[in-house]
Amino acid sequence: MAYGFGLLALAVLVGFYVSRNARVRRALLNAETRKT
Amino acid sequence: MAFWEFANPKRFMGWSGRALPWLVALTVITLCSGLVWGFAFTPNDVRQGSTVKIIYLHVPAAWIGINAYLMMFVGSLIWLIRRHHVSALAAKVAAPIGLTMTLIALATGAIWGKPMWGTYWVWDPRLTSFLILFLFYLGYIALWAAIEDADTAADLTSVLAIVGSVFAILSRYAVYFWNQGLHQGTTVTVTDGAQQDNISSAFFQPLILSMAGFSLLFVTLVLVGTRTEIRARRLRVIEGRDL
Repeated sequence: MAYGFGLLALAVLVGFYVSRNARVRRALLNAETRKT
Repeated sequence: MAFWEFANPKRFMGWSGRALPWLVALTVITLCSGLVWGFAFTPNDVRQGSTVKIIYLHVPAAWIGINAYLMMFVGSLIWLIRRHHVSALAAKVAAPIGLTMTLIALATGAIWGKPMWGTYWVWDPRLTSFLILFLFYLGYIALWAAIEDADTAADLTSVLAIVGSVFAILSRYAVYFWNQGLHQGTTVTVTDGAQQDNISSAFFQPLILSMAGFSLLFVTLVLVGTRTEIRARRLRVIEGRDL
């Protein structure tokens, strides 16, 4: 149970950082494309 | 290249972009090896049985929980003294990682403590200072979110990081100058290379590998997060909107 909780927490943490990174990159690319 | 040149966001983005693929690969290999080795290929303990395998999550998570705050302390000092934005952003980004690691350490410690000590929790020096550290992480993240102006937020959270670092240090060293309490003393000391203190050799190597994996994960996520924050700031400049 402890292992499962720990691995889930790590997965959520990594998922949060990766998904936010992808979202901001996409938004910046769109914004820079619109600007030009 | 001097260290301070990475305070330039463009240089930081260039360097971190080149380093990240290697870091990600190394992190995955090290972390997976350590956890799989520890969980599947180590013997059960004579007294603790299979419960001892929580150590491969609990100890590395606690290690990162303390060191993440110390990194935030250093980043905050650099912001207050030299006003490098990259440093403040790195500290901001490290906080949720440290919070998660502290939570993992507290939760796995409680789950481990019940069969071993007969209780989920005691108010001993190490556990109490760790809980306070967890609350400081929460406060730090909340303070960043509460203040609209980024530079003011960085100033105030830097002060909080410096004050809270006392508890990070206490968590690590409390057992040396208070009564021992229920929590065991140091498992691993790092002087000339890591040395095992209170742990059998069979568990020590996968533990070190797990700790290395968690450390690499921390560095990787801080780099990813800082790059995201730099891009978000650029986006705010272009569009004048919050992310």
